Amino acid sequence: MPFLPLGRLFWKFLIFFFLAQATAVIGFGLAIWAIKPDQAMRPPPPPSFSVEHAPGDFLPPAPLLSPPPNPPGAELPLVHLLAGAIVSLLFAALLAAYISRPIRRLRTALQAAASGHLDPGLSAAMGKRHDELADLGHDFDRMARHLAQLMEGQRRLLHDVSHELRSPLARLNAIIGLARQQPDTLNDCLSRLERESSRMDRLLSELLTLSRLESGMVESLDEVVDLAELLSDVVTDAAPEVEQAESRVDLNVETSGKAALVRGDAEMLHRALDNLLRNALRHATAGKWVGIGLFLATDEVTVRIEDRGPGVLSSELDRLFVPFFRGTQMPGRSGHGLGLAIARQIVDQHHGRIEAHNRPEGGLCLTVVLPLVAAAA
Amino acid sequence: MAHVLLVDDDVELVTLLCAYLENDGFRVSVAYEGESGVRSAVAAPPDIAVIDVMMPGFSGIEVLRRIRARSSLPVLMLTAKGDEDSRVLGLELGADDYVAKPCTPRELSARLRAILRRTLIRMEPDTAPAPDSVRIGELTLFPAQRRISWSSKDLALTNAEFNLLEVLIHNAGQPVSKSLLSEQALGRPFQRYDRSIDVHLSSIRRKLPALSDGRPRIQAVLRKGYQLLTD
Repeated sequence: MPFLPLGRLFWKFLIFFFLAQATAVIGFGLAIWAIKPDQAMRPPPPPSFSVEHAPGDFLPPAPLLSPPPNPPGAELPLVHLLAGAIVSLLFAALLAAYISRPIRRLRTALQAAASGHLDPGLSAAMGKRHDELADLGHDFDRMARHLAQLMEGQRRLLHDVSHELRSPLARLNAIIGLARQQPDTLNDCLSRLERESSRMDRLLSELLTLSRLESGMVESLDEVVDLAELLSDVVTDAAPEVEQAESRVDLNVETSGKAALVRGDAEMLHRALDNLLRNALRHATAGKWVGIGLFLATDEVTVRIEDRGPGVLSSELDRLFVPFFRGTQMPGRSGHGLGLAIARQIVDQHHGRIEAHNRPEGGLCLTVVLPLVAAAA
Repeated sequence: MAHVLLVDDDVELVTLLCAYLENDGFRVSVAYEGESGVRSAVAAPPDIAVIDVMMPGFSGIEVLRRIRARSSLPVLMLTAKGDEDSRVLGLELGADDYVAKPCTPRELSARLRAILRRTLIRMEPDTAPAPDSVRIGELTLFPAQRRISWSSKDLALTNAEFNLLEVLIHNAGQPVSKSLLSEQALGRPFQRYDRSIDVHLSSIRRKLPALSDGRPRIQAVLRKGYQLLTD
C-alpha cells in the first residue's frame, strides 16, 4: 500500500476510533440537550439579547420554531468542539498505531520468513508489551527457531548423505580402474564391487529407517514385550559377530523374579538393542569384552551395555547419537554412524531415554531406560 | 620413479589407489589421517602429495596449511564435487591443483603426471642446457632454479604459481588465454567455470608489487585471459 504511508490498517483504525468517539460525544451532547432544553441552554433574559445585536444582523425567527434549534445565546461551542475533535483524533491515532504497528511488524517478519530469512527477533521488536499480540510475536519466534533448526538439520543430512555415498562411489571407481589396469585381478575386483554395492544398499536402508522414525511414521506400539527375553534373543542372534570379533559377551539379568515388561514394538526394540550391541562389539577391540546388564526399578527398566574399548572423547559424547557422527578415536571406518542414531529414535518413540558415558575404568557405557508397563498383575 | 604420498582416511580406497598407482609406475606411501600425513610429508618429502579434504579431525585443508608452512612440495587436493569453498581455499593456501572425488584412478594418475612433469623436469639440472634467465623490468625468471625474483629478492611462489607466472613472463606484454595457461602451466585442458587459474593469479598478484600507477601488474583481459603488464 504505497499510497498510505502507515498502512491501510492504521487509517482504518484511526477512522473507526474517531467515528466511535465522535458518535459518543454527539450522542451524549444530544441527550443532555434534549433532557434539559430550558434550564441549561436557555440564555439569560432578553434585555441584553436585543442589545447585543448589531443593526444589520438578522434576527432568528424565534417565535416560529417551537424548540429553537439554535437557542439564542447557546451558540454551538465551536472552540470546544474543535478541541474535542483534535484530542479525540489524537487519541484515535495513538490507539490505531498501538494496534496496527505490531501487526505490521509481524507481517514484515512473515514476509522475511517466506523468502527464507528465518531469524527470530520479533518478540524483542514487540518491546515491553504483554498481550496477545506480544504472545503472537513470541510464538512466531519459536516457530522460526524450530523451522530454522529443522532446515539446518535437513541441509546437514543431505550433505552427509551425499558425502557418505561419495565414498563408496570413489571406491567403485578405483576398483573399476584397477580391474581395467590389471585384468588378472578381475575376480578379486568383482567381489570387492559386490561388497561395495551391498554396503551402499545397507546405508540406504538404514537411512530410510532413520527418516521413517524421525518423521514419526511408526506402527502401533501397544505390544507388550518382555525385555529380558528380547535381550537374550539379541545376544543369541549376534553370536556369529561375537565369534568373529573374538570377544566375550556377559549377559547379566537382575529381575528378581519379576518380568521386565515394556510396551512397544518388539522388532524395533530388537533393532535398537542389536545396534547398541554391534556398536559395542566394534569398539571392544582391546578388552574383547562386552557387558550387558538389565536392571529393574519400580517403574522403569534399565539396560546397560558396556565395553572396554577406547571410549569416546568427553566432548563428543553428546554428538554420539547424531546421524553420521563417528568418534575421532575410532580405528578405521566401519559403519556409517547411523546405528546409534536409529537406536535413539526408537528409544524416543518408546518414551524412554538413552545416555552415553565413559566408564571410569575405560570404555563406553550406553544406558537405555524404558518405562515399565504399569503393573497389571 | 616418482614418489607419491596419499593422505586419506578411507583405508580401502587408499589400498586400491595404491595398487593402481604402483602398477602405473609410482612409488606410493600412505597416511590414514592428517597428523601422520604432515609428519611423513616433512620427514621423507615425497615428490607430490595427494590430500583428501574431508577427513575427520584434522582436515585436508589443515594438513595443506601445515605442509605449506614448511615446504613448497606439490600438492593435489581431493575435493568433493560441488564443494567450491574448500576448492578455492585449498588453491589459495597453495595447492597445485584439485581433483573432484569420486574420480577414476586414471584421471588421478594423469593429473599427478601433469604436475610432476612441470616440477620434476626442471629439478633435474641435466635435462637440457638451461636457458638463461629472462628479465622483464625488475622481474627475473631463473627457469633452471625454478625461482622468480623481484629486484633480486626471491618471490615465495608455489609450484602452480611459478608455472603460471613463468608462462606469463614468456609472453610478457601480451594477453595469454586461460586455456593456454591451463594447458601449459597446470597441464590440463581448461574447463569452463574452472576458477583455479583466477585463484592462483590473484595470489600471485598479492605477491608482486603494483605498477607505479597503482594498478596490479597482472591484468585480467576480458575474454582474452591474463596479461603481465610491463613498465
